[in-house]
Amino acid sequence: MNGIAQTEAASLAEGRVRGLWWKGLCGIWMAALILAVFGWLGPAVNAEGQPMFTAGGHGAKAIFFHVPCAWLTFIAFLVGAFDAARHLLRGARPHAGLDDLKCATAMELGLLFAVLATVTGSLFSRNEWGAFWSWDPRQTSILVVLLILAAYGVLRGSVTDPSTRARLSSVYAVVALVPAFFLIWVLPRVMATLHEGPNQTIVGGMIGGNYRAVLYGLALPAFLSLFVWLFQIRIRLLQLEERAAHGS
Amino acid sequence: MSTSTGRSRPLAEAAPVRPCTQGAGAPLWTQARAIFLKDVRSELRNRSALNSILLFSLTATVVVGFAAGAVGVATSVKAALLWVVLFFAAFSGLAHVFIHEEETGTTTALRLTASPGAVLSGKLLFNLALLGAISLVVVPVYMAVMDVRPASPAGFAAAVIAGGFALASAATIVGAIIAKARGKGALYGALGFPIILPLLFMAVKTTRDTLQASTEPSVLAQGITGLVSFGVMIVAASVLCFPVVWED
Amino acid sequence: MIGSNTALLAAIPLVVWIGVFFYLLMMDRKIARLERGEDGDDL
Repeated sequence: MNGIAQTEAASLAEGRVRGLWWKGLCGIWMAALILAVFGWLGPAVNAEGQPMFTAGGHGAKAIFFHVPCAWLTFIAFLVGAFDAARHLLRGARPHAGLDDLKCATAMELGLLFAVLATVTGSLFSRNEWGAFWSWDPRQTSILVVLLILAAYGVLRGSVTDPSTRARLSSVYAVVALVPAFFLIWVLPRVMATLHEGPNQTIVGGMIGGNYRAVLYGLALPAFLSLFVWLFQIRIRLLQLEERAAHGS
Repeated sequence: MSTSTGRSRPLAEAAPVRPCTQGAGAPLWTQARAIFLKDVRSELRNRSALNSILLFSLTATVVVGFAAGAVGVATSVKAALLWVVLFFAAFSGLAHVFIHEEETGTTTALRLTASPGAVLSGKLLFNLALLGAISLVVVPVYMAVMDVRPASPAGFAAAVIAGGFALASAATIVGAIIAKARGKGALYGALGFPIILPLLFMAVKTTRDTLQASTEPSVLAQGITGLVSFGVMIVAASVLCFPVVWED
Repeated sequence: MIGSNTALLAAIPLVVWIGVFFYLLMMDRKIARLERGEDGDDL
């Protein structure tokens, strides 16, 4: 089974990168984001022109990195759980499809972004409110997702037989949707959260100076495309490894 | 799909063991009850799991009581520590019900004679009963040691029951996974803990609410509902995924 | 903080990103070559 269709193979010039257009866009978006955040974007100010958050309003710019990382963590987890479900629905035969590999890749990337999100979040929290950690529900939920993703990796690592490994880790990923659902939807509503203030100010557009535009217009596409790119590279690497291992 | 080559093969390879989907014609409840009773009898005969969990939980209670009791801690801490003890109780022993089958080699026989749904139901019932029995001993001891006097005793009981139900359900499916992964002890806790973390949050919050007189009944009801729905969702996920875990 | 330092402050992460970006492109090309079977190297 070869993942590259005939037409695609024929159109591949030597070393030509597929999807170069959106990868190039990713480069541009991210560069534009950096320029915006470190350059022309002013400090975070509220309606009266008072600076919000620390460092004269510039501390708020951490959200342009922290928030996308958190988004990507949850997206990665959902992608992983979705692929795990597909693997199970297709009868859990490891070579019936790439689903298990996709799940593993997504969970791996998710773990990376979860670590980044947790670390940047706690640094911002330290700057802003004096403590690295405060058991705020949203802060804790990213940590729990981190633990779930890490546990997934540990489970994969502890099973040697590939088909068993795929089976068990897919089940774990799907079962983990239950706590994820509670973490994302139920707990932040039930419990008061530190995040409420910043959430509302940014999403509610109360920060002047185009913060919302930069977040959704630059940071979101930049990080999303980066995630897809990293995912694609990783999954193709894993496929190549498998092909080499099986000599097909 | 075995091919005959004339060579002798190990028995396990010769014909894959298919899970029995009809359970020899017996209805699900009959099979599940039979499995439940078998495990109960086995446990009563050789009380290794019961004894070790009980001893572990009581020791944990004493440790907690020693560390915190003399100082006099806040109600929220008492609620939290109770669930720490119950968590450790569950994740020290509720995998036994699957691991025991693997260790004694009876898994194949069980797979041949009962449907996966019956196996899950029977084992889940057993774990519920086991955790229930443990709680009946541990919770009163905890209340005595830590001087716990709930403002709403019915609410307290409901919280422990609902939380225990969810805890046992989660511990069952995770136990099934690690039994197949030849899981060593640490893996069970490592996999289970992230899954039940939201459950722990809700259980601690709800239990704390029952200890305080100022809580409104609607808040309590909401907490209990949250715990029960977590358990129900875990059971639903288990029903969907267990056949995949169980097959070889 | 905004002013003459801006160029330097923006330049560092920008340079880092440009490096990462081209690294990813190179990886991509390498993988594409490996997929076509034209490159004999291990990664």
